[in-house]
Amino acid sequence: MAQGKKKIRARFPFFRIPAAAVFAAVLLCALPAHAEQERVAIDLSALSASANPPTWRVNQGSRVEIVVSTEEPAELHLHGYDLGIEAGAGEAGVVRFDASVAGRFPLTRHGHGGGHDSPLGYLEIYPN
Amino acid sequence: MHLARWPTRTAGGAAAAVAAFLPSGAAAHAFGQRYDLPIPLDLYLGGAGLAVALSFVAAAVALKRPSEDARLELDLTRRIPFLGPVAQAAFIVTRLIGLAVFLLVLIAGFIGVQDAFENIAPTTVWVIWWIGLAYASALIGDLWHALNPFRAVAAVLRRINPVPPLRYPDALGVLPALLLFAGFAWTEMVSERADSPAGLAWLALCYAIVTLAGMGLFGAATWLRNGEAFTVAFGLIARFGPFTARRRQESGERMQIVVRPFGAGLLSRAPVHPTLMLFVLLMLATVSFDGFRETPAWNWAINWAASSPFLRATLIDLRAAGVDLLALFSTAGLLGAFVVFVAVYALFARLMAWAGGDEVSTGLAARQFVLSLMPIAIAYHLAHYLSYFMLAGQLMIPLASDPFGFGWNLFGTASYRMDISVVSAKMVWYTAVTAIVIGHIAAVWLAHITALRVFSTPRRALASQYPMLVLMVGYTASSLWILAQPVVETGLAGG
Repeated sequence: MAQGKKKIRARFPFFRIPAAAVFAAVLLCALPAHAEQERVAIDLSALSASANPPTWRVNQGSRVEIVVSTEEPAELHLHGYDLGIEAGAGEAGVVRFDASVAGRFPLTRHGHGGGHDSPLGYLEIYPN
Repeated sequence: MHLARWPTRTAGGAAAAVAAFLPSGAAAHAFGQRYDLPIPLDLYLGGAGLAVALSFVAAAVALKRPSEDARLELDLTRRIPFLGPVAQAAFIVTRLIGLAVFLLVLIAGFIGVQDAFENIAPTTVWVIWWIGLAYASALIGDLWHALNPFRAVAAVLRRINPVPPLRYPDALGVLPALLLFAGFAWTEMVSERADSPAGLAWLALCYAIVTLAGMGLFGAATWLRNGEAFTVAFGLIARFGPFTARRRQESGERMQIVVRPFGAGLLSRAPVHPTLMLFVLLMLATVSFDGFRETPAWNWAINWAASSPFLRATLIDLRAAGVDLLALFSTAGLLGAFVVFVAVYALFARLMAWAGGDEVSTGLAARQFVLSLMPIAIAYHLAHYLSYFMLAGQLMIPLASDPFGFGWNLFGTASYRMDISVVSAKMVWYTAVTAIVIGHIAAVWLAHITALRVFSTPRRALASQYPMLVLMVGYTASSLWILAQPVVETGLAGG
């Protein structure tokens, strides 16, 4: 009898840890019920001057809005997600999408006579 | 290999906007674009720490139970009835498949649409054959041996031409294969030709002519062993794999299928030929440089070189003469990586021989231990290309339906778009670090077993392994470091 009780008591903490973990996991999953908004503002005229392409970081699962402002018309392309952004002079280009897949995705310029287009920058979508 | 801008399935409903950006005959640069996130710092340090700690476990296991080759192997043909004849028949089928795929690549390359994504040739060669077959070789066994189209031809050649006109000078070792592999590595990393279907088909045709000539002049088996770069390369990778097929002379040329622990095939009693040692080091250098050339450090290095007052005038002249400076830097980098690998390995071979009481010469030590470095390279290769392979591999689904880009739809899959969500970033991180740690342990284990065979006493064997352990930890840590770097496309600032 006494032995049985001891066994149960000894086992109890082991039950508690996974139970708490499951509870925490449920809580964590429930929390981001409405996706957070992330805004990435890109000023093309400022970008071209810098030698090293910048990296913009957002979290996976968020709703991302990329706003491109430029002095001359430009067509951009976000690889991986395969999204096009068209921006005109004085008229910002905007694209909105759900960052459902994590990764590091280059953003390149198009329509400049083709040829070699090295990335303007990289959008990193980090897993939670 | 540098494919860019591959067509992917759109996350949102921006299909119309996207259509404008799909590759449409424009020079598709960067076929091998990767979307990998750099490994986070804690995983990188944790993996490196784990590799160091587990080194001692691997060493202890190796020292406690010095295994014999025979005891590590299990002959499946003896356990499973009819396996030998079935395998022999299967090899005929696989070689015909290999020949058919090779011909498909040639035909697609020459007559198909000249677009890296709409023609089946580039994806078949770079993704399925070069990366996929390396994976299969490491995880299963020498599938190139089974698929090699030149082996299919060799069987015919042996009938027509049983006595080759020339004797192969054995002193050359695998030198022809080494040179051909160097050319291949350069093509893969530097040449723009690698992306173009027709360029690829021309290269494959030239390689086939060289191989057929070699087989005709020196005998098929001799040339495949010493001059066929991919028999040597995939053969080395497949020595890590658990399955191997061989013909036993004593059992009347009967085929034998053997299963063994991962990595056990890299144990060898005899030192490898110096040219094979250089081949291994070239493979290691190639694999590492392939990752390094996408790091910010490399980008910084070439920009530093381009702007240094010492080189600037020469570089301007070269560019005026029509030299592609980026290709020039990549060539220098590839060559430099090989020189660094050879120099560092030679230094550590010297240290190893010295620590083992100078029982063996530095050259002999170098040739004995070089194969034990293979698991680290294989693991890094696996980690580096994991997500790329899972994403770019999907290109085969639409290409199977429309291999030449003529607008066919043979299997109804021509409109399939790549799904970038098939691999999660976290899964890639954990698989990558796990693979690298396991590769490191295998390497340490192999080196210790080899040391016990090379040196006269366990004490000397153990002493010889201290420098080797330092080398392996350094190599593993630098592989992890590359994976922890953000992928950047290199370019020269200021035009």
